[in-house]
Amino acid sequence: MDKKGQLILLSGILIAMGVALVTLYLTTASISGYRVSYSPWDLPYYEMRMGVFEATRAVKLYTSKPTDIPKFYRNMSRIYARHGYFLVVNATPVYPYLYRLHLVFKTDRVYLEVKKNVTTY
Amino acid sequence: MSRGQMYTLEALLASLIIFGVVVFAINSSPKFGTETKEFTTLQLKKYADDILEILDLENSTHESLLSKWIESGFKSSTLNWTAIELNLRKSLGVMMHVEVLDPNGSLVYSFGPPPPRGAVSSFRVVPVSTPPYAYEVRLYLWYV
Repeated sequence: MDKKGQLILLSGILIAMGVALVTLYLTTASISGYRVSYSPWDLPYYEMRMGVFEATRAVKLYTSKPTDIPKFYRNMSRIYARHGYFLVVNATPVYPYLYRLHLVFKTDRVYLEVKKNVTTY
Repeated sequence: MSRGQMYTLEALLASLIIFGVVVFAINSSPKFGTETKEFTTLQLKKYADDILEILDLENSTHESLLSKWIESGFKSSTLNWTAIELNLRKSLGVMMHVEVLDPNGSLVYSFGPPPPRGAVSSFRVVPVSTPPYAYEVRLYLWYV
């Protein structure tokens, strides 16, 4: 076989392998870029924020009839469960006009526990 | 086989290998369409979240436009979904469908054309002063 031809063939193979490797590297880099930039968006920020907001608001809204607070929380948990979220909220009176709020929010990726004092005003 | 024929054959083989690798490179390069679809979904989810959040802003008596609307028996004079839909369609090219469900998941109100497959949805738990105390307002959005 011709030596020059073999060299051409060998360099062709080397160039081809180089192109393949660069492509694989770029693909991996672009996918990791996607993972880094988009995966935090998969976290249910809005649902967590809404849970804390509505739980706090219920204490203030049902101030004239506090027995309605747990009824609201129970139904709120059921609505969240329908969307695949675990949410349990509890509010206990610690002082006149002051409640101790305890909220637990869970998914397969997130565990959020909030303990805060809420005034009825 | 003559020397010239050998050169031709080698060149042919080399070009075939390079061609094969180029085809492989094109096929394995990232598909940007997927990313665009992901971005569109995120954008619609953000729109839906924001719309519901704004409509559920708490006033001084801890009520909101959504809670007043539910307590009024879904009166359009309290909350006009037709105007919101028109606005969304004109300014953003987005269609919408809204549903109100009780805690058992029974539909108590719906507005707008049925959402197609792939429509993005968001929900809001709205407290009201009478039983069942909590309603779910679900908003579907999709591009026209």
